[in-house]
Formats: sequence, structure tokens, C-alpha cells
Amino acid sequence: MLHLYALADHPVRLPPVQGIGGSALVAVEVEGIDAVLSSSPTTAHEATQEEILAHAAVVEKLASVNEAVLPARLSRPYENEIALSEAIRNRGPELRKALDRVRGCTEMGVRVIRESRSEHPDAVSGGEYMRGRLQEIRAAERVAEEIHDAVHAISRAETQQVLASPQLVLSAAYLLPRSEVDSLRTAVEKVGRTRPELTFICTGPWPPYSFALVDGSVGEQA
Amino acid sequence: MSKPDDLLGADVEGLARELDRLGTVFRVNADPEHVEKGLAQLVLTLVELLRQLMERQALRRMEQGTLTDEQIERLGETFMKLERRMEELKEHFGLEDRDLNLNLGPLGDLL
Amino acid sequence: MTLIELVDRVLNKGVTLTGDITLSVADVDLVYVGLRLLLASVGTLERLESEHT
Repeated sequence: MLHLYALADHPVRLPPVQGIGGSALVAVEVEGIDAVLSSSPTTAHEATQEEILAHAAVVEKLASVNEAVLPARLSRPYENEIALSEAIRNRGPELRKALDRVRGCTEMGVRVIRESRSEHPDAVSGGEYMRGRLQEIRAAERVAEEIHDAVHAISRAETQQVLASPQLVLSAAYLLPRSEVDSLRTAVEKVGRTRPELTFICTGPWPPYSFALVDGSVGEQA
Repeated sequence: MSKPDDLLGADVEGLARELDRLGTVFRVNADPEHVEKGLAQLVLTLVELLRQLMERQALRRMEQGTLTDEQIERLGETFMKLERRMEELKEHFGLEDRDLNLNLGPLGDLL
Repeated sequence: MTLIELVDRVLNKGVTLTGDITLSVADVDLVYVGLRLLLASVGTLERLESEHT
């Protein structure tokens, strides 16, 4: 069984780290794309914390010494190289496009958090509830727009999610050249100063997990 | 990829009724250990997802002006009831928001 | 906070070649399935419930 960590431009530079369970990292080329793998001793099972961290560590190191890396999601192991190669071949154009997009870039996360809103008093009517919710969402969308305006000149792509939970006004990710990381932090801080009632947090830089695909489920251009 | 426009038609009130039933099931059995926490987590995650989706759709329609006042009132009451029920069930199983994996990933684009 | 973010990225983001659809939702169709799955789950819960009383 094979565990996949990431896809990268061929030839990938393999960092001097071990994979999950102390296994060795290897690279397998498929039409100009390198798949970074290690052997996986077990079949599909629920990921342990150790595995998650080991996977993340390998991806992190890969991204630090290679220009274009598509982090792989932690998923069940592959039967063999043949199955994996075929999967990569079938998505060749899409994957190459994704590699082009992330080349030279890193990912920064932004979270905007607010204090718990007060519980709805039972006296609130259905209509009041709906109007209140709409207002909340509009206000959160305004914050998202402000951040977008502040960083869109330096970011290549973004994902934004508004009010995924009551306290999480915005959770967003931005794909940007490595050289622009500090500019993003500064820009977000600036917006944060105009909204002292909210907490603005930048995380990263991350390998570009959120932008690993061009079409499909992850990393759509906002 | 078509968006679930008639998810609202999929019956907010029906979902509220199911949630009521869920509450009954859990209440009758006082010991939460009897019902696997993992299963509760699964069910509640789906319920919360659907609730959020439907609420967003309802709000969008309200914004567009395609809901009557009466519909807005009824939907609002149902969503509030759902929210209250969710809180009860979460508390009953000792689940936090993060246990329900509310970071919705790709589907978050629908919100 | 950072650990949660890391775990979220490793488990929910990143490229997938296996076509795994994790239950934390992959696309719209899953929502329709989800409603049925939800109702099936309620049925299972009731059965479990009756098995323990």
C-alpha cells in the first residue's frame, strides 16, 4: 500500500525527512508530475493524530524546498503504483494547471472572530429572527469584502466563508507569492484596527492545501 | 453543478418534525452512552448542515422578496426551534460545534 | 487554533485522487443523500433505542 503526500513538478527535491511510521519518501513520475509517496503498512483506517502530523510535516518540508507543490489530502492508501499513476494521468491537464497556479506561492489563512452573540430571547418572532440573521450575514459579508479589497492586489486566489458558525464571522484563505506574506499581515491588521470589536487572526504560511485544485471541490477562484 | 433550489421545498417543517422525533428518542433513553456518541455526531452534523443550508436559502429568498410575510414568520420560527433543539441535543451528547465539523469545506461555498 | 487549522487542512483540503467522499460533505448531491441518510439514521437510532430498553 502507498501513502500519497503531495504532487509536485518533476523533478521534485525530496527533503531529508521520513514519512509516516518512519518509512522512506520516494518520488514516482507520471508525465512530468512527481507523486511523493511512502509505503503504508496498514489498510484504510481512521487517521490517527500521529499520522496527521507526520503527513503535515512531510508536506511542509516539501513545500519549503520546491516551487510548486499540491498537498494531498490524507486519504486511504493506494493499492499500488499502477492505480495511482492512472489517477494522475486521467487528471493530468487539471493537475498541471493547479501546479502552475501555486508555483512560487504560499497560503495564508485569515479568521475573523466575534464574541458570542446573546441567546435569542424567546420573545423574538420568526420574522425578527430572520431579519436579524440577514443583518448578521450582511455585516459579515462587509467584513469579508473589506479584507478582499485590502489583499486582492497581492493574492492570486482566495476562498472565503462567511459565518460558518456564530462566532466565526469569516474564515478565508489566500494564495499569494511568498514575498507578499508580510504585506498581507499588514493589510489585515489595518482592517482589524477599524473594527476593534472583532478579532482578526492570520495563520500560516501554509502549503497551499486550499488551492490544490483548479476546478472541482477545492480552491475555486472567489 | 446545480444548486439545491428546492431544498426549502424539501421541507423545513419536515426536518423540524424529524428533529423532534430525535429529541424524543434521546430523551426516553436517559443514558447517552447507549446511543453511540459517534452516531449522534454523524446525525447531528448532517442535521446542522441541512439547517444552515436551508436557512441560507430562506434568507436569500427573503432578500429577493420571493417570500410572503407569513412564510418568513413561519420559517423563522422553525429555524429558531431547530436551533434550540440542536443545542439541547449537542448538550445531551456533550458535543461542541467543532465536533460537528462545521467547517463545511467545499459546500461552504453554498453558504 | 493552529492545530485545528492544520488538521482541517490535512483532512478536508488538498488534492484527492481516490475519489473519497468524506462525510463532512463533498458536493451538492450529498446533501440530498444526506437527508435520506439522516432519516435512515433516525430509524437506526430508534432501533438502537428499542434494543436497549
